This record gives sequence, structure tokens and C-alpha cells, in this order.
Amino acid sequence: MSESENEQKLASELKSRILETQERNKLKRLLTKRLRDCGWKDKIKKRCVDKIRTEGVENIKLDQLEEYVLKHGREAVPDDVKVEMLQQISSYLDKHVSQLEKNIK
Amino acid sequence: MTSKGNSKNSQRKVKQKKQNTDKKMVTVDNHVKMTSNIEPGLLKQNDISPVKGKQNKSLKKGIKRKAEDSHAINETFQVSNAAVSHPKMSQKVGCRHLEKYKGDRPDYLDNFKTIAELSMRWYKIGIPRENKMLMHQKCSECSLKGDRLHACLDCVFIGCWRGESHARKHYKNTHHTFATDVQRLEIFCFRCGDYIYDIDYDNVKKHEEVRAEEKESDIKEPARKRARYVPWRPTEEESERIKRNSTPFPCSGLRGLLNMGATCFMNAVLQTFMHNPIIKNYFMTDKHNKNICGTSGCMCCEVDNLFQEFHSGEKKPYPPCSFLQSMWLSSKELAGYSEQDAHEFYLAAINKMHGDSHETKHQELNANIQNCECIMHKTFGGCFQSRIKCSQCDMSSDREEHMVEWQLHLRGLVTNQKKKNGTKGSQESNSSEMDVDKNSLEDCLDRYCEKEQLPGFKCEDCEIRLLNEDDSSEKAKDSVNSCSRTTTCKKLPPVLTFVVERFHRASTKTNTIKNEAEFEFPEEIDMAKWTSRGHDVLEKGGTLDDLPNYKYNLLSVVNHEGKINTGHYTVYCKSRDRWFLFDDHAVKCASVEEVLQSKRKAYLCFYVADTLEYDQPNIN
Repeated sequence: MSESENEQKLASELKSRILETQERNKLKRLLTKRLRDCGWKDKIKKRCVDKIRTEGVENIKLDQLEEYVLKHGREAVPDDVKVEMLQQISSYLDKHVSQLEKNIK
Repeated sequence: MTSKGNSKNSQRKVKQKKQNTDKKMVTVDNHVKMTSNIEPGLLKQNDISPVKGKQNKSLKKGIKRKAEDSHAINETFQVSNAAVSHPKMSQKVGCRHLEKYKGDRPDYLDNFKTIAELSMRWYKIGIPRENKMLMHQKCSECSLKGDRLHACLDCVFIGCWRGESHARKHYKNTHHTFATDVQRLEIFCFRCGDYIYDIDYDNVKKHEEVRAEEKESDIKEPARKRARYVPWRPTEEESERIKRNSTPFPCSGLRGLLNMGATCFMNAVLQTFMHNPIIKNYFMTDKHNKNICGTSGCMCCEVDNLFQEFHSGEKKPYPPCSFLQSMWLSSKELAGYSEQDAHEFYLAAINKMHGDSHETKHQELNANIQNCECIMHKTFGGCFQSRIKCSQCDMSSDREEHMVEWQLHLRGLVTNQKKKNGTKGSQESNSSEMDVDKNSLEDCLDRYCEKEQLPGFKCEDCEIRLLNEDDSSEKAKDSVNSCSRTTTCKKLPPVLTFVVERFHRASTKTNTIKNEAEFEFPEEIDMAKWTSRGHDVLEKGGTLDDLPNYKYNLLSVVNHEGKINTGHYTVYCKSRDRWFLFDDHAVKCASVEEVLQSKRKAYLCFYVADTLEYDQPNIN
């Protein structure tokens, strides 16, 4: 098997494993909690409400609203939250990648 | 209880109905009986036995039955919503597409009901067992789980929203216009491109929510049978009768404390704790349960007990005997029947509760008190910063100091007391004449944060430099005297405690004197000026507008009346936006003006922050 094929297989294995073991949900829960605690959620909500107020409820669609907050929202996530999430993900990967590699070989 | 959609009024009515006349009770019983006939069927359906075929059948049955009740519910909800009609909410049908859809399909609610029921099982009740019905909680195309899944209302399809958006693709392929968010149960119209509100769907959702709660309690406490949810709305005659025969439920949380022999100092401080929103939240959410803790002499348990007593609905004044006992056991200075200082009690209570709290159990003894997780330090703990600055070499050093109170020095002793009792000092009485009426809270804070010259203090950097240079002795003297100190508040606590230093001792030889100068305090105060951040901004010539909200509102005032040796403590507290005067066992209504008038008596002032800050995320 070539290198890239191996990698692809590994990636799909990992993906399904993350989904099966509920790791994704766990991470998501952690992220939502952090974002709520640091006020990010309220900030974004306020931004949405302001936008709806200025445009009028009838004149704005979900897609437009999403577009309006998406970029801003990404940037507004505090750096330490990002760092923590990355740490969590990489520690999970460290645990499982080597094991999976063995299985594939 | 009727569902959440009803107005508060009707909820209260239902409550009151229970306390109503006997005749009324009979009709209620009938009502329950009528519905309880259906119960066996429903109960079976409630059982979450994962038997495949049967489940489906019983599910369908359940839906039919529910369709019957939900018609009744729909009617009642419509009535109630009409009664509380809100101008913006008057449109009960989501959009014109939905209106047409409803007209075409008389069974339009059926699919939604099934989805709602499954969703409740999945997200609310959370059944541990693997169940075939629950396997659908992932995207039908890519089997992605739990990412804003939307279920089609026309066929069995669940699609993901983000990324490839199989839900949207499904719409493009099949033109099924409506989908519902599986978790939130909101209806999305693909033709409008937006979520819509529809009263029929909403009623079904509310109904399912109540049912889910019932099931949950069935699973968690199978022994305790909960009364089934029965929609009920009083007729005009009935509501008239309810109004006539019921008395409003008295407000709880207000109770006098008996004086156990010169314990008014304790009663006053305890009342402020009882009406402190943060402490109240902590204990009312069962964070420290006395039945679980069970440590004897635990001060937190005693406070928990007080909260129970205060909200028990009992109106008689409560004797805080066990509280007093554990106080006596824990601190010897406060034991006995002599009169004590409320401020000392306040400090002692904080220390004791800090020691007894669950949060500190695993903490090391010398752990940093600033990051203490105990309720008292989280509520009252802030931090001062004192900065020493040398004007010669621009050296500055900061020191942080933990605080649970802000001591305010009153200027000017009030003369009557002074002349009678005081033996010392024409100096002070002179100065008191000079700054009369300069004792508002703002003035005191200004004075606290004023730059203070430190004549004897030697700046280290300058000293070293002088040793090296060694030539200009004149400059040396200058720099030695050029240091100054400013104290500002680095971290404001959620509840600020101001202690007015009324008990003054001029020197060790003289007796302590009570200062009865007027101390004016406002109902609300913006603390920005006295924070370290605000101070820095002002020094650089900026404005305070960009700073976060540092507004504080008056919460309670402890007053001391009488002389130094003997006196009486009373306290004004704000409860549910109204002021009350607590004088041991007596509780009286008070007005804000009255509270602000107690200038000469105020001893402890508690202010609560207008907005609470978010937690800063901490790594490690």
C-alpha cells in the first residue's frame, strides 16, 4: 500500500472512531461550555439580535444572518479556548493514532 | 400544572384551585378520573421496552390517543394565547407555504409528533439502553451524528445541516418543503429559507415536553407516582370563584430573627447574607446541603438551615440558636452574652464559612486566597493594588492585597460625642470644623485612592544609583522623599462591603470613641474611577467610557444606634426590589429615602454589582 492510501484509510478510521466513541460530542460539549462561560455566546447573540432589529425580522433570512456572524464569530473566539481545544484534540489523537496504525499494518 | 405556554396568571389560578373549596375539589377529581381511564394505554406506551414490532404499534396507538387530547390542548392554548394576545405574535400560522400545506394534508401534525416524541427521548430523557428507534439520530446520508440534524416532515429522512447539507439536498431532490430541527423542534421552511413559528406545531412540542418530564420522573422515581398532566382552564364562573375564595400566597424569604440576648449584631449581618443574591443562589441551588454535609458545627450547614427556615412560609420570627451555638464554639471572642461588633462578626463568619465550605476541602492550607472557590470569597473577595512610585527614576512597584471589605475613614469627629467623652486633642476638632460635610461615599473613596507621600521611604533604584554617583547629596535627599503610594482596586468583588470606621481610637491611652459624622451614600455608584484600570486611564488623560460596566447598586445597610459600649443594630435590606427594615424580630416595609437618610447610623454598606463578569477561561 502506498503512503497516501494509508493515510486516507487512517483518516477515515479515525473519523468513524471519533464518532463512535462520542469523543466528538464530548469535545463539543466542552467547547460550548467554554464559549458560554467566557461570554462569547452572549456576544454573538447580541450581534444577531442587533442585526435583526436594524434590518427588520421580515427582511432577513437565516442564511444572511449566518453569513453576517460567521466570520466575526470565528475571530471572536478567545485564543485560550482555541488552544485548549487543540490540546484536547491532539492528546486524543496521540492516544489513538499509533494504535490504529498498528491495526492497519 | 398547565404547560409553559399559559400565562403566569392561569398558573397561579391552577395553584389556587387546589386550595379551593370542597365542591371544587370534587370537580377536579372527576377530571382526573376521566383522564385516568386512558392512562393504562398511555402507560404501556410510556414503557420504553425495546421490543420492535410492539413498540411501533403502541406508538401509533399513542399518537391517535394523543391526537385526541392534543385537540383539546390546541383549543385551550388558542384561548389562552388570545387572552394574552401580543401584537407581534398574533400571526399563528408560520408562512403561506405552511398554510397551504396544512390545507392539503389534514394529518399534518402526525409526523411531527413522532419526531418530537423521539427527540424528547433522545435529548431530554436520555435512555441508556440501545433502542432501534433511536438509531435514526444521525444523518441518513453520511451518518454524521448530532450536528443540527433536520428531519423531513413528509418522509422518513434526517439530514445534516452544515457542510454538505443533506437536508437541503433532500429538499432539492424531493421538494419536501418543511423540516424540523431534531433537537430544538423548530420548523424550517425551505421555500422561505427561514425558521417559522406555528402555533399548532408549538402546542404539540409543549405537550411532548410535559410528557417527557412525566416519563423522566417515572424512570427516575418509579415509586413516586406523579399526577398526569391534564389540561384545564377555568370557565368564567370558576375563575370568579377562585378569585373570591383564594388568598394570595405570601412572599417568602422575609423572616425576623429573635434576639437571643444582645445578638442583634449577628441578626443584622445574617439578614444581609440572607438577602445577598449570590449567597442566596448558592444555597437555594443546593450547593451545600446540610443533610449531605452533616458535619456538626459546620457554619455553611447553619446558613443552609436558615435559608430553609426563611423560605418555609412560616411567619413567626426564627430563633437562630444552633447558629449561635456553632458560632460560639468556633470563635471564642464572640462567645458569651456581651454586645459585639457586627463588623467583627462579618469577618469571623467569612472565615468560618470559608473553612467549612466544600470547595476548600481539597485546597491546601496556604492556597492562594485570591482564587479561593468558596462562596464567601467568591462573593466578597476582591483585590487592592498599592503602587509605589518614585518620581525621580520612574520606578514603580505593585503589590496586591486581598480584601473582603473596604474600610472608609471618616473625617471629622462629631463634636457632641467628642466633647463629652473624648479627652484628647484640640487638633482633631479643629480639622473637623474645617471639612464639615465632606463624608460622602465618593469623598471617602477619593481620599482612599489619593496619592500619598512616603517621606521616609527609600527608592531602591535611586539609592543604588546614588551610591555609585556619590556626588550630589542634595539630590539624594530629594529622591528619598519623592516616593508616593496610590491604592486602587484591582479586582472588584461581586458584592462590595464598605465599613465605615465609626469606632475610632485616637491613641492607645484613650478610649474608643464613636464617630457619628454624617456619611452619605448613594443608591447606585459607578466604581470605575477607583479601579486600577480606571485610575490608569484617567492618569493618561483618557475617559472612563470605554471601560466595562462597574456599576454597583445598594443592597443592604447595617445601622448602629446608640453609644460605643451599648447600642443596637438594625439593617435595611432590599428584597425583590423593595426595601425592608429588619429590627431583630420585626420586619417592616421601608422606602429608599428612609434608607438613604440613615447617614449618621450607617456602619456597613453592601453594594452588589449591576452586571457580573464572565469567567475568564483558564488553561491548566
